[in-house]
Amino acid sequence: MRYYKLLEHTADLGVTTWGGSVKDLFINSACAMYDIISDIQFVDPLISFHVKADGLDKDELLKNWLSELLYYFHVKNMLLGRFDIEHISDNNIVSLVAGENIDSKRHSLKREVKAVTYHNLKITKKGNRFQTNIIFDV
Amino acid sequence: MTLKYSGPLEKIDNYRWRVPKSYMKGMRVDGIVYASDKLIDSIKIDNALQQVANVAMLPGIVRYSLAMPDIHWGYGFSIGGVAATDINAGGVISPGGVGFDINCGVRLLKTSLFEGDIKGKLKDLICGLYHNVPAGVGSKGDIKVTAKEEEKILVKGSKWALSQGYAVESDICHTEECGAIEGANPDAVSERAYERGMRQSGTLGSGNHFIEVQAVDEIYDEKAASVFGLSKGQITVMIHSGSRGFGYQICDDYARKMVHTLSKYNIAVPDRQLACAPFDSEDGKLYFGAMKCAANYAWNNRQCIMHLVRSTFEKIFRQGFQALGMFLIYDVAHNIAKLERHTIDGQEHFLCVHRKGATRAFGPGRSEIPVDYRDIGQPVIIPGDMGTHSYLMLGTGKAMDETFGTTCHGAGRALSRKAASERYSTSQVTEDLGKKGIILMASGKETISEEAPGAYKDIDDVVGAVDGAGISKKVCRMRPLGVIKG
Repeated sequence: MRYYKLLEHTADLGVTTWGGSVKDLFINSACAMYDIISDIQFVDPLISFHVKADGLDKDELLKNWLSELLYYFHVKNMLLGRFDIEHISDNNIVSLVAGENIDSKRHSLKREVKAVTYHNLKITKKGNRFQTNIIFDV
Repeated sequence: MTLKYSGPLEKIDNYRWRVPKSYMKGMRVDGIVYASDKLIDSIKIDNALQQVANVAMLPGIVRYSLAMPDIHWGYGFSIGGVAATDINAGGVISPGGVGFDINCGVRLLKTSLFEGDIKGKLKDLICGLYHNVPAGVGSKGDIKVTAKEEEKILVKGSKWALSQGYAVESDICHTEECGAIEGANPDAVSERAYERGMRQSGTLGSGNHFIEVQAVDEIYDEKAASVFGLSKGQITVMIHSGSRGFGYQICDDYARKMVHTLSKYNIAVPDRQLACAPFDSEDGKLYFGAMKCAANYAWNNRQCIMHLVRSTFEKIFRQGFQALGMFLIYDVAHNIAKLERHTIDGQEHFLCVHRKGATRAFGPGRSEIPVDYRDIGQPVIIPGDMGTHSYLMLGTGKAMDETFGTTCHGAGRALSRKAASERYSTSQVTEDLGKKGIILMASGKETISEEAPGAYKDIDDVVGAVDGAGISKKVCRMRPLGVIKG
């Protein structure tokens, strides 16, 4: 199922993501970010751990959580492919995520997502689904 | 999501346009855009001019929210935007006004070689550079730096490279701020930034970063060209890179911090990516000290890359780099905030000048310019796309009067990465460049189509606009022969 689409943005790369609940929207956004980096269908959930984040509101919470997840790519040399949310409120999230170390034989790195920006990140509800735009610095 | 700008835009003359401050409540100054008739049409197709208006709302902004002709839609600030705030009148500093890649910048290295000298060796040279300079997603370098040394780099900048034998004295003199801006505060840098910067010194990175071997193909100002020691057909090397993961983390840390302190300072911004704090506040000072660390990291990084470039030439031509005349012409920052002295209406002010995708272009006489260039003005290096040209220009007195001594920084994107990768295939781009005699080597396939020459504005138009407006003057043009992309 398509859970995100790429957006036109002159300088960088944006996505629109959506989900039936805020939880799904968060999970789909994380999948989108890691899918931009490398095809997540080839990422095995070999290592799992908890990732927490906080924020002033849901918009900032999403930005901060995605930034936390990106840390594992930049510093731990990992790709993540599975995201479960154990707890989420307006200001806090506790997630259990899984992935593996980058293996150049199996993983092709498409692009480097360097940062998640605040620009135009606004979670809205349209009908019975939630959606947002996210602009990444690449 | 692409939004065409529909607000007011008044033509002032052939190269200047105004977004009047009456356009939106909260704008403190007008927006001024430098562009020709042709360029303004492409500028209006996205949201960049709205961002010029948003920046005009920053507390303490003076004169104008400026946009250079290579302006395009960024996040928060536009790319190609300039904003100066008066630090003695509540002026703010904004991490978003500098951008993630702090001191992303470019340097130009000359050689005493001419096109005929490298003809049979170009392929070996480009392959050698590709293998010797680590590039691409998350690339890690051969220049090993311990945590303790890392902290020295943050304070000493390019002078660290000098202490390691990766630089000569003239490299330092020919770098903006002599390769190390004073006041860097390593204590203001998070553990994460250290983690991300570790082992990335001397690496090119990915995205729009590159090394290009070029030939001078047109000279516009013989006198200035002779000061730089350049003549037609001469080989130059351009290096474009920044502060790698280190600068990104600093921007991320402080943008987040300042989003949280907006209410403390009673500041409202139309976009969280414009979050800021008063320049003289504790939060402002901490960011400025950390930003300087990233700026110094970037200058040292470009210096280390240049060392690797020199040693590659040495191997291929079996001569030392000094015998090959490989000396640095200049190195300039494209993404930075600086505390600078400027005269406004006859009065001297200390301004925090944010240049995001813009180049300092100080006119003749300023003490910040190296002694050997001071009479002609600061060298300005403008890279074009990988299929056309790059330019060497000079800063002018007019830039001092109008733009806080600032000009454009490159061609500026015309197409989104998505549109570019849909329109151009990797093989087609490589083939088209090959037909022009340009060798391309890139570590990321997506990068080639996203960075296709057609994804950029025409560099000749952009340079023509800043030259026509008088905010910098053309010295010479360089044509690419070989390109390494991250």
